[in-house]
Amino acid sequence: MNSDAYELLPLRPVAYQVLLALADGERHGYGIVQDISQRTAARMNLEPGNLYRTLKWMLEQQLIEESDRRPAPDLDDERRRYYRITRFGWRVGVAETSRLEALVAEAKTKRWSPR
Amino acid sequence: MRLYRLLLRAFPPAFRDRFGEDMAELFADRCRGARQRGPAAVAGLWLRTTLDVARAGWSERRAARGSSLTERTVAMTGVMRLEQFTRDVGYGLRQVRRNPAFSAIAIATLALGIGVNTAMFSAVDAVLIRPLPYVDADRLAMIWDVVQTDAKFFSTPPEWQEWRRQNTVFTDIAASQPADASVSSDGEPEKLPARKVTANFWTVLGTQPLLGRVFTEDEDTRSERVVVISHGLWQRRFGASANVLGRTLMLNDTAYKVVGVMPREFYFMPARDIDIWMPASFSAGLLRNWGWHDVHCVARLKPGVTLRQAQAAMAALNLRVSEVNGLKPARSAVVTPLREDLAGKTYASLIVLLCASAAVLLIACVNLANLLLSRGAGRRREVAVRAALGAGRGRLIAQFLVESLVLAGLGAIAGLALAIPVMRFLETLVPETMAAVHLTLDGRVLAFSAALAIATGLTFGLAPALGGSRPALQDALRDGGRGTSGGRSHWLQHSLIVIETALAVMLLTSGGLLLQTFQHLRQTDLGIRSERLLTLVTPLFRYREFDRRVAFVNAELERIRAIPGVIDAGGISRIPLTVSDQSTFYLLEGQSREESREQVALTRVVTRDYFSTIGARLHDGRLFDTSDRRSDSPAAVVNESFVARNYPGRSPLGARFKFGALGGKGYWYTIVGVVTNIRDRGVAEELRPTIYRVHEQADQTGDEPSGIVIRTAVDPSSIVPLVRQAIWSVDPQQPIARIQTIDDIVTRQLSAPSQNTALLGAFAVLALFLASLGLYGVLSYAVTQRTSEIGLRMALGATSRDILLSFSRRGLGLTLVGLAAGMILAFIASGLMTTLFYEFRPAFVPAVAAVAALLLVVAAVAVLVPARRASRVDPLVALQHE
Repeated sequence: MNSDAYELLPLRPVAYQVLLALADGERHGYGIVQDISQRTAARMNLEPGNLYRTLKWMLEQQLIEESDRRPAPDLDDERRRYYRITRFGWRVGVAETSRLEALVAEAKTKRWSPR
Repeated sequence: MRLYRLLLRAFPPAFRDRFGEDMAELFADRCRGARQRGPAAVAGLWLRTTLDVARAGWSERRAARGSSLTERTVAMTGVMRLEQFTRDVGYGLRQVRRNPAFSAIAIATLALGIGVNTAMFSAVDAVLIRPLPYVDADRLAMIWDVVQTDAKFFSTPPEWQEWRRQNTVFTDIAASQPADASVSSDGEPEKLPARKVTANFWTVLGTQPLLGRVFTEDEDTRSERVVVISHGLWQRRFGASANVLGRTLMLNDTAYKVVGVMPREFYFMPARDIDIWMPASFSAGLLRNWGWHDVHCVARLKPGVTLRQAQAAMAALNLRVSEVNGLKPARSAVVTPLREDLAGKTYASLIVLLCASAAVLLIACVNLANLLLSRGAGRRREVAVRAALGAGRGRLIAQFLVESLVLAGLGAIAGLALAIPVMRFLETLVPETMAAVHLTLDGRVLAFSAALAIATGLTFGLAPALGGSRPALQDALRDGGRGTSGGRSHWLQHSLIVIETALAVMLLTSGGLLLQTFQHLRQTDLGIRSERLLTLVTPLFRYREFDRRVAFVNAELERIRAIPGVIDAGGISRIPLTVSDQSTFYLLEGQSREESREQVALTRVVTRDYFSTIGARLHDGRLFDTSDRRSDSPAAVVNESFVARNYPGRSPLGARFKFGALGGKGYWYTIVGVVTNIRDRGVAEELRPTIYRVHEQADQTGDEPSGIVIRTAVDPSSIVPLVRQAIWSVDPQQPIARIQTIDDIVTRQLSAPSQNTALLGAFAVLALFLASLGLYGVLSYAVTQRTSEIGLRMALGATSRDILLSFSRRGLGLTLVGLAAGMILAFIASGLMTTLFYEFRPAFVPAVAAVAALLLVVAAVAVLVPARRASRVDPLVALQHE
């Protein structure tokens, strides 16, 4: 649907975090929440409503897709849906990262970086 | 978990279908985590989750609606506005956390107000709003006869016939009559609640049977033995078998063919559990009997005809009908909406309770508005800074309102928890004429509660938002927070105090009046000794023949008396305290037929030992004894009401009367005794003139002593099996029904009034509490705010006594104005309640005096505490305060 990765920038922080969470592999909703919570030292705690709204948007924009692979049934609840990043999702993630990098670089020239 | 799924309804269905399960899973996981950390974590989780669902659900719904339009732009502005809103909500939540005491009071106040109203709404919705199980039920009406000044009377068969033939306002009129039906086939003999109805009953209501058909006009006129049965009976007695149609049911020892089964949800006046509908098949004699008042008429309005037009037309029609047929005095008619009759007394209670709960919510709003106004004054600096930084007034108002909404939302959530027990309580108020309900927090109720929260938030938030957002920029910044808030806001706060005091006074007074009424009911002299009095019904359709009936009744009573633990036993045609009709015209000796028209008395047929069994008190003359045998000059005992109506100031002993319908053949009855009034029609019902006859002499009427009363020395329930055995030892086929004690009957009849009173009382106490809280809050705030002014006054020579007086005067002044306004409201309310409740006889003065005293004491405390603080202000400190 979206061919131009830059059209979606700036990415909402939650969406960016979801991309980061899925970068290491497929996860289900709770896995995403846990990963984000760990990485942000519990500063970002996603509520279900917010999470699934974001997931819905990301699915629509084809940043992520539902995975049809499931872990062995005894490992996890097989009713859960798993998500993974699409190629387009990778491109958007990279684009957002470079946007942020540019922004940070600029901030550093103003000596805003924390010591 | 179930609550969470309910919350998920905030999302559009498509979203829910796709993600609902996963979201619920995720929530469950988090719940488990929170539970390990303790109840505070669970509460926090619920709070966050609710806000999250509300926020996300709202924007999803917006998106779902807008997606067909220019998707992106709508989404963008939506997101922007949403983010603004989210920020305000976040800010509101921070405010909540920053002022925990204020927030706790505000949320608790709102929870009470919203919770109580949510529960009330669920009851009102169930009883007064939900669709009835008839087609276009709002077009259905009941028609009642009006004889003289008696408000509503049952109609008579000929009236029904004439009305049906001549009226121009209804598409059709159906009639129903009480019926007796005892089944004796297949299984234990059982007495079933039954009604006789005319064949057009079903077309008027617009209801179809679940199985089979209803009976036809033809079957009705030819008195065919066909019945339509209830869903319940079909399940119970026929095991829900499909081939019930055409089966025979032995009713009163006569074979009836089952032609139809009604759907489960069907019910109709006068009770929810009618099992048998049989053809009315009015006999020719009955269709000429203008005194036979036992017909319910239900009718469907013609399209375009209003209830009022129908009322006028029917009143005129019945006047004409009664004139043509020489009835004196002439009769009128009244048309009432069906729903009103179905809801009955509950209608009045619900309206009163709804008003009361609305008043509580209003007080809560007023209170919060006041608190926020006070706080708004304290936040003027903050507002000024924001305005100086470029926030527009609209922006500020929006922020204030969102803060109020956050409070209201939190209050509503807490209120839902409160609503559930109140709903359990209200369920018991649903009238017996309607289907039983189980009140739940369903979508409608939740929607109402949400709407209420928003309306509440806006109501109590608006004035503070408007006031607080007016940035008197330079003033406020320079002022340094010294704050002598302007006269305007004082005026507003004071009128708010007066309003809430007035509302509280109204509720308290109404509650007090209702309590009086209830006390009065409790102390009603029943005319009998009610303790350890067992009653039951033995339908006597198997003993149509008079002598056999008398013999059977005497025999069964003899056997019952022989049971150990039974003191005495007697029979009566209607169990006392339960039946409101069964009355007949009578003619006093020396009266002309004209004079005796519409002269009605309740009639009861009793056995000789009846009066001694129930503990009736003899007022004059004698009770029935063994000399009263079958003869053509029988004896009668009457009650005091009968004497008061017919023989004021004279002894009725020896006077004679006869029953009107029997004409020349009727016996002349001689009055031999007078008993103290017995509440035959019910505890809370009006007394009527009553005639008692002994069953050995009651061979001229169909009245039979099928009711049995038993006075026991032991716990009545312990002898029930023995009583059954005793009766079945005389006749093993005899049905036995409705076993209950008189105390049960009394308790049941008083339960609705006692619950109403308790609920209204609780509302009133709540109102008083909230109002005094408001008074206290405003005064103590005024003290804080005017510390420097007080200091100045004291420095200029005012004593602390002066200060104390000036503050007390202000507080008590407000209270008194509120009290006066409240008394006016209470007076209006009591007028309303008089029309709604029978036996509501307000003794206004003591109630008002008690309320005034109570309010003044509470107000004095609420006033004195801050006033004392004011009087202790140290002028030095106060002036430094600047």
